Amino acid sequence: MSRVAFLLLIEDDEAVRTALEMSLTRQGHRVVTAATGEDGLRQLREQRPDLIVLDVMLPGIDGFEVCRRIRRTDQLPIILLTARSDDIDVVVGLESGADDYVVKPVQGRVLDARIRAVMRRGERESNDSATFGSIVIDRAAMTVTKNGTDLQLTPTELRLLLELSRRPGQALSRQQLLRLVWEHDYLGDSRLVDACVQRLRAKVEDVPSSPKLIRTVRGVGYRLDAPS
Amino acid sequence: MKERAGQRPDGALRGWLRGLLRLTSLRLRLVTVFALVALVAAVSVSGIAYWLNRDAVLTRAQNAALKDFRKSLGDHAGALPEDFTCDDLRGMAAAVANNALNYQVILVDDEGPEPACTAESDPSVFNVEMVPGSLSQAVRERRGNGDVSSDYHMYWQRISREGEPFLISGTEIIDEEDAGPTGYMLTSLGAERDDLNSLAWSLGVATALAVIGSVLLAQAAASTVLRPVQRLSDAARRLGEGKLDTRLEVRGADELAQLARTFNSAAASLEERVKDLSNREAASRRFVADMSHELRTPMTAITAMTEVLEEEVDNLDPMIAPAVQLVVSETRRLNDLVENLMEVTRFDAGTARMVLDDVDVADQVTACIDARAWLDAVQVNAPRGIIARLDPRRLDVILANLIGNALKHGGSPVRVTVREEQGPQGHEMLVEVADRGPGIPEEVLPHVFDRFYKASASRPRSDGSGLGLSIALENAHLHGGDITASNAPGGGAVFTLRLPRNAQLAEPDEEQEQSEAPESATPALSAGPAESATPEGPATTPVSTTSGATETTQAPVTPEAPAVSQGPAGSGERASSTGTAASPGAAAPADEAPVPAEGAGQGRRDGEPGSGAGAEGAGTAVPRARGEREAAVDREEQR
Repeated sequence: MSRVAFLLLIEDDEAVRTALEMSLTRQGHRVVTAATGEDGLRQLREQRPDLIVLDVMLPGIDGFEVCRRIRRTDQLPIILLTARSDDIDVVVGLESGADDYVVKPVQGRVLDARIRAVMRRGERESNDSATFGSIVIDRAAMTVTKNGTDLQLTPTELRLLLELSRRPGQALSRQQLLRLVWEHDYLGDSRLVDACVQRLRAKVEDVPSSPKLIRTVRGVGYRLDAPS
Repeated sequence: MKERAGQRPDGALRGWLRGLLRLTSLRLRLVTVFALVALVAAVSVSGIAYWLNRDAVLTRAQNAALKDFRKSLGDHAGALPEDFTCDDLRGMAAAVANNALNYQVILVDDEGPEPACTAESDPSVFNVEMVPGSLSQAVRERRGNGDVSSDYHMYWQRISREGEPFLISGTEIIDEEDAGPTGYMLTSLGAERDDLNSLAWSLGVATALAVIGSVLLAQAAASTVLRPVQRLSDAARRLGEGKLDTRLEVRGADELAQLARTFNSAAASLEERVKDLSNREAASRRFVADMSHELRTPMTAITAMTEVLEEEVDNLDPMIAPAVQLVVSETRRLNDLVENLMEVTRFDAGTARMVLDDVDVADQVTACIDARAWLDAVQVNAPRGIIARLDPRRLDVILANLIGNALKHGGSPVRVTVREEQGPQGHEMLVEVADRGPGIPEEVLPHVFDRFYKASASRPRSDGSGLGLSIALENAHLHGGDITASNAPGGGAVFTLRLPRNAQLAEPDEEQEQSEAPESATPALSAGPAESATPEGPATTPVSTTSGATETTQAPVTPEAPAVSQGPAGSGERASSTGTAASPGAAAPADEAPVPAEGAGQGRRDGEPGSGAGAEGAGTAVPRARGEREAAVDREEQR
């Protein structure tokens, strides 16, 4: 639980970068920093961090683009530093593949809590496995296979699938999922769930536009169905 | 005239009439005046004409009868013997009555020594009792000077018997001697009366026609005058409704045209003025927005550092520690202020957006109080099960501000009551926050939601930013609800939040539609095709947004994306891959349309050696990864 997380902080403003680095280091994380998106991507290849904290407003390639490029090859957790929770930034960021976001001016404690929550998602909890149609969820190995091929899921996507698969056929509300997967309080942003569900559907469904596995339950939330 | 004959009610009636005339429209006044003028003119003209006519007709008929009677008497009196008997007199009466004018005659002889003799030509029509006393009196008093010509002096009188008008006349038949019999004549004036009646009718009809004509004329006149007035009134109303570009068409050169011209110039200067003001206001709002935005970056750094300082405060020099604590707490306050300022600028700029979710209101209220450790000071009366569709974060802001305000100014215990109500716009949810404090002074009540409003200058500034209630109100408005402040009868202030159970997004914006799409799906159990339509919007958007990372390029993409992928939705994997591939193409400028096709090929090539999800994942991961790659290529080419 108290494993030292190795973070990559990509933030262009020097004062913010220094302050956050100091704050996070004090919380017990190991932090490397990058001032631009390009530098961040290079650091990612060289240092292989566990998690990335990414500012949206970056000179050169912006945070969304960095996020998309990371997602092409890596499934490590990404936390966005964004301007405002109801900005369009959040939606674009989540669609680019971010796992969570925090709003500036960010409090070190909040960021730390989010980091720890994201890191916990990759932890193993039980040893069984479950099968839903062509999808096999191996909870021991923390892998998901589809027709025998490994699916590359981010820890958040994997956790979402695990939580849904633990209660097959039962609808879970967005608020419930936010609590279970994101460990957010009652004010969690339901768009996190929606965006993650879309990404997950794109990976596990045969036809993501007509999902057979992860169903939307109107007015409630989502439900995992074993296709008959 | 009749009213005046009555008593005092006539005064009240006149007042009412005057009021009616004053209150009702110009049109009615014009019509009334026209009709009155026409009526007076027509009545006086016809009245004069009638009286003149009547006089002439009657005089002519009367003169003819009298002349004939006189002549006839003269003729027959000569033939009367000296010592005429009563029979002779009767014969003479019959002879005189036998005439063209159809009058009846009575001859009376009471001068002679014999008993009086009365000769009546037709006693059933005319007998001596019918002769008025005044007339026979006048006839008998002969004129003194004896003008003993053959001319008889005729006395006449008009009488009415059983509704029929008659002319009755009398004279003394003068012989060579002085005394002779007296003769009376009666003739009907019925024919003349009928003529006059029909004349009166015609005049009445003519008068009525004249009045009607004048009313129509007044209508027409009123219309020509009032139509421009109506236009002007419409234009003024539109102007009042905020359509400042309202202008009138100026026609002609009369006073109304002048008025229209004045109106136009007034509207033009008003428009100019308003534009100027709103420009200035927009500039100042932009300034505040930019400023608070700029403050945020340093605030992030400072906030992070103050936390470090705060944790170290115990290890610091006791002389320094209070200073550090002050910096920490003031930083927090500054943070809140910047946060609230940004929120306010968002409302001002109209860019505040809602993230809707279905939540249990009771849970939200409890969670809000719990999160702020207010459980001891707040009594909650909220039945579970009131599900509302709203933005939970904004509801939290509202509740936190209302309850925080109540705790600060009213003191505990604060009572929070949640209930449902059927409001004018459908189902509503009410949250009442009541405190036990002194209440809000009446003069302050209208200002409690004003920004930075302080109840009194002497009141110490509280830790709030002065924006809390204003932000709460704006948030309620965003949901289509409202907050009202009042004082409870038993003392203490009551803030009532009223929200629709089902908040609608004020303006449809693409961001919300994306996140809402899964919820607008048909029930999950429904068959594939029905459900397939909805999730594809969000499913494709990650791809479509990759083509344009900025907000502006995203906007046009979204409405198109579902349309593009709609067709292939249900038709298998290959089709859906083309569907997603089409999205970046739709977003790209037309001349770059071939790029996605090229990108797709390239994407597959890079994908194979790498360990990316797209390359390895069989099935659905492929089209998505491909789409992303295409988009990336697309972007790189644009650059």
